[in-house]
Amino acid sequence: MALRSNSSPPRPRLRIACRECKLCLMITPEEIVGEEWAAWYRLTPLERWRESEKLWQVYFYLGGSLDTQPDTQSPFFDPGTSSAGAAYGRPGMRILRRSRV
Amino acid sequence: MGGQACVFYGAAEFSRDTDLAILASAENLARLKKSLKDLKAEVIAVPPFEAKYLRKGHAIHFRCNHVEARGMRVDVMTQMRGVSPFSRLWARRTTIEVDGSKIELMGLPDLVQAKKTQRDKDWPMVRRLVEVSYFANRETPSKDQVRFWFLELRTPQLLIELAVRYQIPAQLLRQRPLLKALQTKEESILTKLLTEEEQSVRDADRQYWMPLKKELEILRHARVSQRKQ
Repeated sequence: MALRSNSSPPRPRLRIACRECKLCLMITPEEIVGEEWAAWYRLTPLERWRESEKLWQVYFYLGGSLDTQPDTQSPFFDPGTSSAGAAYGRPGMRILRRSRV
Repeated sequence: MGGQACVFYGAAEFSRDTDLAILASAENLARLKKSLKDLKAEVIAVPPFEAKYLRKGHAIHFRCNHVEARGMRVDVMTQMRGVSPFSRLWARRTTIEVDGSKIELMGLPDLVQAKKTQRDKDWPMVRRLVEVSYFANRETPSKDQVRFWFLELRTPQLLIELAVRYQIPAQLLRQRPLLKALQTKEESILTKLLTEEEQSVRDADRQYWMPLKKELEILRHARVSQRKQ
């Protein structure tokens, strides 16, 4: 999310008038999904693709695994297919401090 | 057709697996087999990788063992509930080029249909997919886009805004009965109706999967007894 907010500064929460009638005020994405998602919505599809690639780099740096978590709601769910690998980080990663909650 | 497509269309930021909707022809499956071999992909669950299971509506699940894609899941499907046949999906696809490579993505309306499942996680995705389309195109929409939003928007405020600006075609009122409630402009009524609509689609998905799940159970049992022998 931080990567995105650098590239697209938050917009004012003013409703904009629609082009056709100039009377009805249109709902802004911020009103529906909040600032962070609205910034994501405003990117072009290719910009989103690129930003997702940056998230991948961070994810791998933190030791993220490509193996997906078991999806117990999926009709395809098969407990036998879950990987034994740690999905939360690479082997050399450990938690030094944990919050109380 | 899965999370990667959702990233492109704005409903997700990140997805780890790759879902492919393919044409289950012999030639195409041979090509897919070769690509999966390059990725050192293995089938990790039932059913086995056979065209007959794909044609019935099953998904085939792979895990890659190639050093550059270790652990990556690839799910392959050819038929999905409520989704058009492959020839139409292909005709309506979106093609993008990323670093010189062409990627074919399922078109947005088809992706929305494919995401209407029994799973909790798919519904916020459906809502966001349509919201992004609406916000990006509402100032100069095509007829098809207005139709798509009337049929698929899941955000009460936006549905009300849409109905203020465009007349609902009579045919769509039959297709999506909750649109009748737009006359009231009451968000709470629409919220209730949208929840009911979602529930009924989720129930339909469960019904659709019942015989397929039974078949998967039989295949799993057969696999277990084969391993024991």
